[in-house]
Amino acid sequence: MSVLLLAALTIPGGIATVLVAARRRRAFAIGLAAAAASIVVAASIGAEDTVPLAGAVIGGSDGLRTITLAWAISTFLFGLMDGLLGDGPSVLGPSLVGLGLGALGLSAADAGIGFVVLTAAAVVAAVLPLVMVRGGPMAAPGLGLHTLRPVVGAGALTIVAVVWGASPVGPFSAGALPGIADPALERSLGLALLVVAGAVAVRLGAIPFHAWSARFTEALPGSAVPPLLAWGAGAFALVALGWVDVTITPAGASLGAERDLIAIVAIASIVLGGIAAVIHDDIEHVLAYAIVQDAGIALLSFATLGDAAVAAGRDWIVAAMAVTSGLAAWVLVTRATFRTNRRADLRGWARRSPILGAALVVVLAAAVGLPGMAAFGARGTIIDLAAPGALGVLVLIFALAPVVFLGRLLLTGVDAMSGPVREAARADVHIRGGRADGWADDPSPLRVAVAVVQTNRHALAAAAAVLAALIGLGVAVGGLGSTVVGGGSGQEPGASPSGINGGP
Amino acid sequence: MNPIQTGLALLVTAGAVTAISARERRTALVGLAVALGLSPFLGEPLPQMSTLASRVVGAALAAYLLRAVVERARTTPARGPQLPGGSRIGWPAEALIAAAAWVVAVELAAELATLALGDSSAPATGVIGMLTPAAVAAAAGLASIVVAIVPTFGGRDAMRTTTGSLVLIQGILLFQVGIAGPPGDLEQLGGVVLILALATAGAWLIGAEGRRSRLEAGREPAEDWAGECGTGTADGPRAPLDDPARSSAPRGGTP
Repeated sequence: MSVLLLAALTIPGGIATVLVAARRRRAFAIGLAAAAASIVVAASIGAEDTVPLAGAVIGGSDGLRTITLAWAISTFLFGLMDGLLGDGPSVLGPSLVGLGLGALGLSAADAGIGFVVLTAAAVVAAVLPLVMVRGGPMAAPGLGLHTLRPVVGAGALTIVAVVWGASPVGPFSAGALPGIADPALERSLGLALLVVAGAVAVRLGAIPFHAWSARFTEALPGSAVPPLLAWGAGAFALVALGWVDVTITPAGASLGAERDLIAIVAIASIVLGGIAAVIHDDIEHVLAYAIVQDAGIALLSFATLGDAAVAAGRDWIVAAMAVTSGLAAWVLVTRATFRTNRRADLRGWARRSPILGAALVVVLAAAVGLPGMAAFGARGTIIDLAAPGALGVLVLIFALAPVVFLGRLLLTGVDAMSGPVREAARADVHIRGGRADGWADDPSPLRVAVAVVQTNRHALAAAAAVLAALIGLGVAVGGLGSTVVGGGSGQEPGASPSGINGGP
Repeated sequence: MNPIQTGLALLVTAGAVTAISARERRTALVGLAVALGLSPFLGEPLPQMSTLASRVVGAALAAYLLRAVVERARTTPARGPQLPGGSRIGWPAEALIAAAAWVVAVELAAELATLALGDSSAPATGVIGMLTPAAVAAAAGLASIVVAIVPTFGGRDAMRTTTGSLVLIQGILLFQVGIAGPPGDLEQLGGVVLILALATAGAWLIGAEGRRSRLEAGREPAEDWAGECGTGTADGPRAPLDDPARSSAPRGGTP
């Protein structure tokens, strides 16, 4: 019931926020209230939370609680940051709608429902925030079309795959028994695997389908990135991984060539994404190519089917979603604080704003990880299973590129301050007499409180970025763990799932 | 053969072809409304009345959303502004492509029906006998998919891309009815949500294209964009990031 309540809160709340967007304060009030309430509801999702709805089953689980809770907190924090930094509520509304539809899509026991609903969420999250695009009304339509097409294409491909799976020629038909090698069925399974993995590559922005996601990331504020390219894309990948686990894996087909092809695309994303993130100077580009690299590792889990790979894939996808949100928060606040996105102009940023420095340190810790952390183990497992031996070691080295590109940004932060950083007085916390300070036209406590917030809004946004990074670190440490095991319903035609739903 | 279902499937296909190929935007919208509004009635068994009503209302709302914005937005495509709207190859060619898709889908549905029955030696029942409700749903779906692929992924403007996307998704959902049987009610409602999301996004993009055209013609100040969309600050439109006026320096007043 909690999942339905979450959807009932966030979808109307998001629509209301979009409808009153021209009245910023009212829109933020509605959106932040809905986001805050969604945190409480998401925290109450449990494994026993299974509800039959319109002929299907909406099921909760501990894994679903982890994802929706982190997603809801992220939505609230980005809404808060947008409000503090003077950006409009144009991201908050679509983010709330995406949260509600995403929770429904992840909790449905049928992959068809999941793909349809998550594609709807992605369409909303891809287009409606474009009012904030850099370049304004001249750039918005073109960027919108370039973003809409891959989202629709990925959704269409996965729905077609689900249709095939449930058809008489799919693996669930009476003639197709698990473990029996039927050449025609094996060819179909290989094609279906390629279709779904291709859709995931497009949706996540893996190389060679990365152009749209890179353009979106560099053209919009950081707050618009997580709903589409972190949480939304991750949820899509989770449902796809669950569908492959239920539909393709049990047939026992080897599918060597298909897996090799997926592995090549995935490794290209890991290697080239890492290199691109290292050589680019714009922090938005670093974010974009960090997403490309994470997408490569997620895609690699489709190249090795089996329980270990699926469990590691789920852990990695969830961790990557949360860590990307933390990095996007840092990018958003850093650009707004120092009014520049170039590394050369950001020298000394961490000395000017230690809070932002703390945020990037946490992001770095979560992105790289340590032995014992779920994300660290998942990355190693996926690469080891897909590319054993020397190639695996090489890929793992490239997969640790965040050490270089995030570490380089940190080193830039402790360098001597550049002009734009030195002049950014807004980065400071205004303190007088040991208390945060502000200026108001009258001394009433409410006015003073508002003035304190307004005067210290960049510092408060930086604190929110630290919280977003901590959420990423928490998810990277814990992952989904054993909570996903046995989550899916399983064996009915087309049923699937993300593996984090409760199932019937 | 079910003559009503076959007639409806032909109408859905005609609507899809019209939506894709019409040069006049209102004509395209009529075709889109027909395709979206009639497709819920294809397949056997039909969904529950409440689900059916939701799908029809969703289709009508999607078409209305686009109509409302097309009325106001006079746009020029960014790519190929000198070219006429609609299909480059014309409606007869699109109709022939749809007809070919019908042939393929009906044959496919017949083969799948044979497989589902588990009797590969089932006798052919003739062309008319092959037009089962599942076959005509699959045929209308595949025809919609085939004619919609080019405008969805290669459309010159927002209107054509949106129309193509809606016809494509509607076609896939219809193809599912014919090939894998009618989806559950929740999945059908999910389809309504997707259609509405696409229509909303498309309407927004068509409106944005119209605004860009007016800006290029110098008929509208750029500030209206930020103000209407709520991207500005409380004091007005959001200033560019490098604007020194957008400073957070403390104002004078009582501490």
